[in-house]
Amino acid sequence: MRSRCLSRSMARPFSVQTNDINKREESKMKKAIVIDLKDNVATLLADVDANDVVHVMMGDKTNETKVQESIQFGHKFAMKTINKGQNVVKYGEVIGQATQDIGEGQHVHVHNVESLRGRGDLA
Amino acid sequence: MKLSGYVRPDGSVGFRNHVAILSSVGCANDVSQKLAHMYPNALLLTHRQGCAQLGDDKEQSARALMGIGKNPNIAAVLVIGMGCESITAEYLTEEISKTKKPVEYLMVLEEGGLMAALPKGARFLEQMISGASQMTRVSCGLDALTLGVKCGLTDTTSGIASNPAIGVVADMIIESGGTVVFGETPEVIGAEHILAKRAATPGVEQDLYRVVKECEERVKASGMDIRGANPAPGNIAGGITTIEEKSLGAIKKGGGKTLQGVLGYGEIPKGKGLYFMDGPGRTPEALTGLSGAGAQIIIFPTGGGSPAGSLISPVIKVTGNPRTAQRLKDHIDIDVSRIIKGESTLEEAGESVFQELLNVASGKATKSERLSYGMISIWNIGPHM
Repeated sequence: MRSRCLSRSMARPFSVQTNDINKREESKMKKAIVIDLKDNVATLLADVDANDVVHVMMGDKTNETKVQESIQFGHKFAMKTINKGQNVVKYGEVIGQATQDIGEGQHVHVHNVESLRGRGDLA
Repeated sequence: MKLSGYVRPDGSVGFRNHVAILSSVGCANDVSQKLAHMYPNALLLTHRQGCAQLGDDKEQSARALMGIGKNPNIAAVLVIGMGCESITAEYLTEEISKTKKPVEYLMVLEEGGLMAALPKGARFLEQMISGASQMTRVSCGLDALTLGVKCGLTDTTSGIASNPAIGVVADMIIESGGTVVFGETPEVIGAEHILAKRAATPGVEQDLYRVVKECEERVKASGMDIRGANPAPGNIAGGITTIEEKSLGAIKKGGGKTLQGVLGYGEIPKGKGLYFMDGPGRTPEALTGLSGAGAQIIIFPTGGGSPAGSLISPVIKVTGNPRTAQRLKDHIDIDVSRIIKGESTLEEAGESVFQELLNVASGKATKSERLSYGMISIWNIGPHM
């Protein structure tokens, strides 16, 4: 219960304010980047809306993935289904574990991923 | 590649030429402030530590204060104490004087109180400012530089753009014989195995694992989830989900060279090359620690655009987030967001940061310097008695 409350307050997007100019420029691109080929998440380089097709850069290759919901610039979405309890991988390394099933194209963030480190609440 | 700076009596080189008024203890701050009011050209360095501290915590505060006094950007120091504190002005002065730079102290109670101390302090400052004002810059090599690196208000652009671009600069400085100090121990949690592979010796590897473990144990002892404190709400708003994700991006700011040693907070490295300094990620403490470790210049990658600076070491703010670069022009020195637009390589971006570093070393004021944005805040690890 505590972690759900925490997640909501922490997800409040106060620092990422978009102005109109930025929005217009970025609507043309809708890009995302996968940092390591082992990753199961991509990082968005634009704000996206549900059903937007995003060009995902993976090294020399690009891929197209449809996102399922509106997600902010800089946030992550799943490149493939990540089941509850599975590792979330970015930079080719484990960055946490899914707390619920996450479908391809869904937002991956504090509402559905938990840290495996620094967990005084579990100690 | 040449820089120009002020050569100190011990051979170190400052890229700024401050005369500092340094409180040895928080109780002396009033006196330091009154002297700084009389001499606005002097650099006022006040803080809240210096007394009623125990063991490692007291040692650490003393080490950081000594390091600040020894920082080559400071030409001369007047240390102000009360005479009743545990980290005395006399002790700090003795340590700082090992650099052979001009350093004097006042102990306010021994002088007979504030009214007696002020004219004596004024006389010292008048002489120090006169001396410093007659120094001139001379040419020196990059081997004279200790660069501090600290990231702040991290978002997901930091690990992709600004941190690795600054890693390129860190490598260039080390290849030229200089020193780089980076740190923020909580932001190694989840990435320590990557950094540990670059340790120069098994001892350095053990030191790194030890400080990260101690840091994580402190979190566990608090009974709290680190998330919310680090990554902080601003990081989470910027897309950072876990401390592991933040750390994996954060370690890129130190580049890819061999890790020569793990320093205590505010500890001056004994050799050249890459060093890790134990300490928190919280910005004022991290910047103060780097200045204590002797960094004459600090590069600060930021996603969301932290305005923070250090009073002692010019801070160059670099962002890889195009929105931050546009929104916070008053705080960002270098925009490397072309990396994520695919219009610039990390090497090109690193080169632009490196050029700015040369300009700043030779006197160009950074954005935070122009705004006088900064404070001294010493990392406190024990109870106050």
